[in-house]
Amino acid sequence: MNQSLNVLIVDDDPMMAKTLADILQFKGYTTKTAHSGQAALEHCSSSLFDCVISDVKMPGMNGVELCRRLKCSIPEVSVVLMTAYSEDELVSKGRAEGATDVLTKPIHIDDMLAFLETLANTDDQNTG
Amino acid sequence: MNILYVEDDRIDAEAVQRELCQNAPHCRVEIVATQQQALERLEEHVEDYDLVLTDFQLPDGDGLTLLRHIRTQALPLAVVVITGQGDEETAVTVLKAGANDYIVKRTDYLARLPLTLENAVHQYRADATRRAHPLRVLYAEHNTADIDLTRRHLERYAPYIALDAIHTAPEIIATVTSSDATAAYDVLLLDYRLPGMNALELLKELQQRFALDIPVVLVTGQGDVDVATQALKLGASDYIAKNSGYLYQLPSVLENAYHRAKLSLEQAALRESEQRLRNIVEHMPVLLDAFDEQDHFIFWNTECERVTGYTANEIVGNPQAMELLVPDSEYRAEILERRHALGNHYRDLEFTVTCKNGRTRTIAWSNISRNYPIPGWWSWGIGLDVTARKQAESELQAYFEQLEDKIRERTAELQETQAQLVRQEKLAVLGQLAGGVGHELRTPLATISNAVYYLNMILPDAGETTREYLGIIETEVRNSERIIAELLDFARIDTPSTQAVQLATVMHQALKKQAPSAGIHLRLEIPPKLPPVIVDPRHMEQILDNLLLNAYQAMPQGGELRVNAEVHDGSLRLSVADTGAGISEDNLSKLFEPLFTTKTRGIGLGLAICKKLVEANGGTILVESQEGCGSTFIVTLPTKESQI
Repeated sequence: MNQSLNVLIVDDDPMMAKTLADILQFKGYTTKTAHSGQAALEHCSSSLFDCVISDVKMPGMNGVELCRRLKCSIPEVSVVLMTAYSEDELVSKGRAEGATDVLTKPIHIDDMLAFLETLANTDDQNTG
Repeated sequence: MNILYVEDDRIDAEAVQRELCQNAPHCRVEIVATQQQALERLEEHVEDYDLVLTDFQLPDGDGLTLLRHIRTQALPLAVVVITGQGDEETAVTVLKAGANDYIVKRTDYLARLPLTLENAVHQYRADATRRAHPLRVLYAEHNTADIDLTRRHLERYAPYIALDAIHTAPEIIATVTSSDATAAYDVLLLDYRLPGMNALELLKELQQRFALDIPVVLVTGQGDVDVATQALKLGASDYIAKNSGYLYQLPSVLENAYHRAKLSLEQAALRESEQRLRNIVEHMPVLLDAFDEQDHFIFWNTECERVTGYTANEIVGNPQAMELLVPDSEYRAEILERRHALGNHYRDLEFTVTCKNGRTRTIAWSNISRNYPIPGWWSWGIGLDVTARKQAESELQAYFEQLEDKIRERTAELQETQAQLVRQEKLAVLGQLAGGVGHELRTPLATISNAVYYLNMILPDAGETTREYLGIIETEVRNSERIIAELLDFARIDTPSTQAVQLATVMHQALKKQAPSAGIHLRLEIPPKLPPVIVDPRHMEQILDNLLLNAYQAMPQGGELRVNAEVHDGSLRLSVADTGAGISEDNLSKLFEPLFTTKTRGIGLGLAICKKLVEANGGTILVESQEGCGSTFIVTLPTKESQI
């Protein structure tokens, strides 16, 4: 069921992106990683993703900006932002830009998995 | 005395010199042999000599010529002429020519010489004084023949008497009562028989009406003793009867009258001066007292009376006077001892004197009688009442002390403020650093955490040791995350957004989040109807989390945690007390400083964060602790009431 979900993980820290991607892949999701906002946009223009999980704080384009742009071009994509406690302002901005959820660091993997499962089920219902 | 001795006989000259050298060592003698040499010396250095002693017989003339030269030139010198034995005529001649004395060259003349020379100089000086100040006599006499006779006699025998004559009583009154008469005449010589007015009446008139202070000498007829007596009674200075030869007595009578009048004037002036001084001493606004040898008061001026209230009658001659003035026997003994130790020589010695009304005054006494003794006063001193000054001084002193205290207080405050600023500066830097480091560490930690999660996931059948080690990594990552959270909390304490918060509610939430471990007994004493505190609820939660964690960590072996809240001065006072190890006095003062910790784990920010949060919310936090008996943290928080 959830195997069908395509997830793009965006983090400027490659190890962070990789570990998250590996866990999700093991759980049956199709994953791709990008290390900047710009790269993420390029991935999204060539492939279709159900969900984009992005760090907020990144050099160049930040997660909130990425979310805004994605929501403009692909309104149906779910965007999850990961942010540190100190970025309150960005969190509310992210929500304003249409982020589906905002996870506060430190990220609990179980929370993220739960979110994705819910999303997959919703998609199933929508598509089914 | 400098003597120029003119003598051609060498033996005589040496004899005189030897005599004077032995018996009148103050005489310096210079010998010349001729009149010519003498004149040369005098011409060049007359001021070097007081007296010329000359032999009458000289090889180039006689002593008389020299004498006449000296007198006609008015040289300021006494002259003594040595004459031969039996030559009375010469003696008379030299005296008439102005010699001050002569000495006959008899066997004993050397012995008489010093005294003769001494007298001659004295006489010369007295004559010189008289010549400089002639006696001015106003002679009232209608008989012009008598006036002539008197004038001629005086010119000859008493040239220092200047005589003016007038003839009638009205003339006399007009003259002597004119404003400058007293200055113009020294003596009034009054003939008894004046036309128009009898001399006694005139005398009476002058004395009573015009209060003349010029001495009057009355010239009476022969045998007029009654008149003379009356004249003296009326204030005449003297009288002289017109006996034969009375003119010879006249100069001395006039002079005596003048001197007596002068003396009496001087005496009056002296009496006046003494009275003035006595008045000053008696009434000057300075205390003055004097003692006899038994230390009894013999003088006590009006200022002493004014200041102490004791009159001179009560003090002078009273052997118990000191007991009145200084009733305390010990203090009295101390004063006397100090005075005796200093002798009659001290300045500004301050004593406290007890006045008659029982009050005390401080007097600064100075005694200078050792240097300035006064006959009849064994010791005397002056005193100044310095009570007011002393009081002002002590007030000033007190003020200074107060000022010093204030300065100390302010300095301490400033130091505290400065220390606080330094602390805050330190905190700010630390905050920045902590924030930066915390952020940077978060991502690698999250990655490690992800990696562990992944390993756990793909290795469901891993061995026990692998699982255990993965568990250790996971726990330590959590610990690290907590430390980082603490760092970040410290770095960013944002402006509180306050609202009314029920303390009981947040306390229950905090206890739910961090329940006490098994060994810890909780005593929660929060009354139900407490006013809400006005704080940021998130901050309040953090404060309570920290306080509870701190208390639990203080009691690893278990104990009692007592949480208590009450209203105090309108604020809410929360106390969190543990029964742990307590805090040493040294550590107590550093407890709220960041990075202070006594724990093995932890970076010492919990209580610093607590303090920052409490203060940011307008509250205070303090700790009371006794080593071995536990600690109590007391947090005072604002309520609606305290904020008004």
